[in-house]
Amino acid sequence: MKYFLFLLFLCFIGLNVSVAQQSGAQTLRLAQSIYEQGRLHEIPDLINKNIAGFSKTELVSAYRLLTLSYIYLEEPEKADESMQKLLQTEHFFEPNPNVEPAEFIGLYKTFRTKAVFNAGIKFGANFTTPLLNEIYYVTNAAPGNGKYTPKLGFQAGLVFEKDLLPNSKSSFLSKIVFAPEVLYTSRTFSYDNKQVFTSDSVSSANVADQKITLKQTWLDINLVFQYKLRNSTTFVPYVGFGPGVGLLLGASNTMVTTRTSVNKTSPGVSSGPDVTTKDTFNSLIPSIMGSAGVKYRLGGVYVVGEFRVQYALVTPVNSAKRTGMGGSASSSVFDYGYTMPNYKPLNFVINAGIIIPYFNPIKIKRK
Amino acid sequence: MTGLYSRVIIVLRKAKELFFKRQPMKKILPGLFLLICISCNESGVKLAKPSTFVHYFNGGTPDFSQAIIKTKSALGSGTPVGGYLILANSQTALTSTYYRIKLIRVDEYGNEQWQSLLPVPQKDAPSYRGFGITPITDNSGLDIGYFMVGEEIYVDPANNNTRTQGLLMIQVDTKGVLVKTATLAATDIGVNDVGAQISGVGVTQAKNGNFYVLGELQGSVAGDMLLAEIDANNLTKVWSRTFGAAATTLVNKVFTYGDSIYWGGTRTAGTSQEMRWISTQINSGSKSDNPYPSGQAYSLSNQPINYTCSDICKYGFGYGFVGSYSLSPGVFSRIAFFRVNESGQQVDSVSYALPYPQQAPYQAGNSICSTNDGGFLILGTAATDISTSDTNYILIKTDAHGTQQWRKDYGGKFIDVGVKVLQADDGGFIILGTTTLANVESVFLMKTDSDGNIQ
Repeated sequence: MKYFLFLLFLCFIGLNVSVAQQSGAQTLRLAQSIYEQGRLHEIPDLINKNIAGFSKTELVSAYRLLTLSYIYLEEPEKADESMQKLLQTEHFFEPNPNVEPAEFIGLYKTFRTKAVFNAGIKFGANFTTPLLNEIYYVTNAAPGNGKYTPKLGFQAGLVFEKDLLPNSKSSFLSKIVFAPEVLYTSRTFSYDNKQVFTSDSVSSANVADQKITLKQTWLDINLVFQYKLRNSTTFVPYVGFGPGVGLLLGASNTMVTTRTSVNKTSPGVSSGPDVTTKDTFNSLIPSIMGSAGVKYRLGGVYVVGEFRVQYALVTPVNSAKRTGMGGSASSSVFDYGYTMPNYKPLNFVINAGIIIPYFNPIKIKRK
Repeated sequence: MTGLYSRVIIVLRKAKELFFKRQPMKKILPGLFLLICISCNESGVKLAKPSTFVHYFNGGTPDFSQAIIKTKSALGSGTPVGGYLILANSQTALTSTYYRIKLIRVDEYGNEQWQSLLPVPQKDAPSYRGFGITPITDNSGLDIGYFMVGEEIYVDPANNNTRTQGLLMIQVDTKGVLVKTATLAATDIGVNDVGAQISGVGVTQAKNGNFYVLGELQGSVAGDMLLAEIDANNLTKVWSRTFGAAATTLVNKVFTYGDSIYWGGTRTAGTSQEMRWISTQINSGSKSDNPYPSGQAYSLSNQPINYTCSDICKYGFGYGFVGSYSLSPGVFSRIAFFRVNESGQQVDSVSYALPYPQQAPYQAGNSICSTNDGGFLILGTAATDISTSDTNYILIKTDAHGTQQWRKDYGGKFIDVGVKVLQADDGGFIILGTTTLANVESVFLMKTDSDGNIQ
């Protein structure tokens, strides 16, 4: 009996849904038929009475019919109201110029139909290559023998986008988007020097080497300007360019200096916990960046894929505090025999992200 | 879900079309990939010219710094360049007790210009150490070579083939190439005790071009110090005299003024130690011998205070001394400073506390130099814990009377020992020491600015 009642309940729910769906579609077909017969004054009542039963797609069609009806009934305020409801229901609605009457397209153009702004998140991976300007060193055989290698870092943060001049008549200007962003970024690269000391007894034989991993975390604030390569709301390739500034949050080195005698035994190793080196860097580093990416609309959001190159305009190393004298960073020099070169980091970044557009379709001008 | 999947596929296809099928992108992407993978080599990148620096020098075996001098010399046919010459002793193997002499020439930025291991060719004797060095200058003041004194340990047939310590002298040119060398036994230099050990400690060039050589004597009834004039041409004795009657550890410097020669060190008699300042007349051989501190050898409830002397510097017509202050044998608790006037009379006496009393062999005060502003800079070594498992360098800047103006410490988590300090021409300070990097002693060279800062 219980099972029977439960099945009955399910059937009732299913029937209701079916009836509602059928009802919405039927009402729309009826409204379309009435519209085509020219009995426009009947349409508002018919749609407004059944509006609660429409799905989102049906609602868009219903508001479209309603707007058309009001246009031809010469009730402009009501036409505006129904157009606004249409655009609030479907932010990405675009009238088909081959099908829609000119009056309808004209009304559509009086509304702000583009997103007011976009906001979202970006995250991804990066590689940092230090471009060397000047070598500073501690151990006498080290200069010229070291090699810096990029290592994988990551970044994540918030992005804000706003069309700079969306209504400009210039095609170029209307495609420019101001897209500032704040990213928490970790940057890592390694230093490997196989010859920090050479043997006195065997010419050029290595008797000590150094392996260092340099790790930094930054808060990057980038003022990016994007240029949309296609004026589409679905698939938007773009290029970007702009200045940025990095705020150093932390820096540390994992360091190992190893002695290797000529007979390959190791008389000693200098190692230990990471050495904090934040004191040896400047706090703010300006940079410039260029990027290329695509945005693809999935439902109401954009999925973003992006590649970018960022180049620091100055060396992040504080020349007055390179050795970190008086602080923990001096351990890098005195315990491991390493000091930072002057370099400018070049970052290669791959980002993914999700951008959510915010719409507010209001009337922006009278017909 | 199927819809989402198909949309993702569409995105990927469009991205592929955008980035891979267009010709420019086809060319750009491999380049970008290469850039990501590229390693940045130091090779070919210019060396910086820092006004302050920290440099370590080592060749795989323990190196012990001994002395540093300012130098200005032409390296080959080029313009003379200023810099520094470091004298160090390098163990012949990681665990050996024998040494070779190492000379390291650096420019004013601490960059190595040449390095020389001496003597070359290697002789049969097992060990050579250098302690004192002086530049050989021409009339224009440019260096044309360097002269070192030290010790050679050799097998002496005149003393039943026992190992004997002789006075080693080496002259090199401005590139560190050996010019001449000689080793004199004690009997070769006027000490008629077979079996007496002698080592050269300090040297300076005489007005006539010869060298005044200061040595330490052991096992000789004639004395514990030896002063000799050595002929610059054939490295033989012109004259020699012996001094002292106890055991003396000498500072590796010899000063001349007029017809007088000055030197000093630590005199040890029994368990007591004191600073010693000695002068002699070249012609008459008369001498004065002053202990420091005068009249202060016993104080603090009759507890004996011992003073060792590590370095001496010229100060106007007087001299400044630095060493260690000890209340119990082998434990140094303060850095000791003295200044004497031109007559050898004590003018100032100051001592500076250390964070912890430290064990021998780490002397508290290591070196001293007078500064352009009329004061002194003192280099010391200070333990960072009670067991002296780690020591650091300390610099103390004082006025003319030894009153401390600033004090700074430097160093890592291993043993760092101060050796010598100089004032550079730009007003900064050059500090020579012996540091320990990955368990092997290395030559340490640091330049600070005039306030003791390194950038």
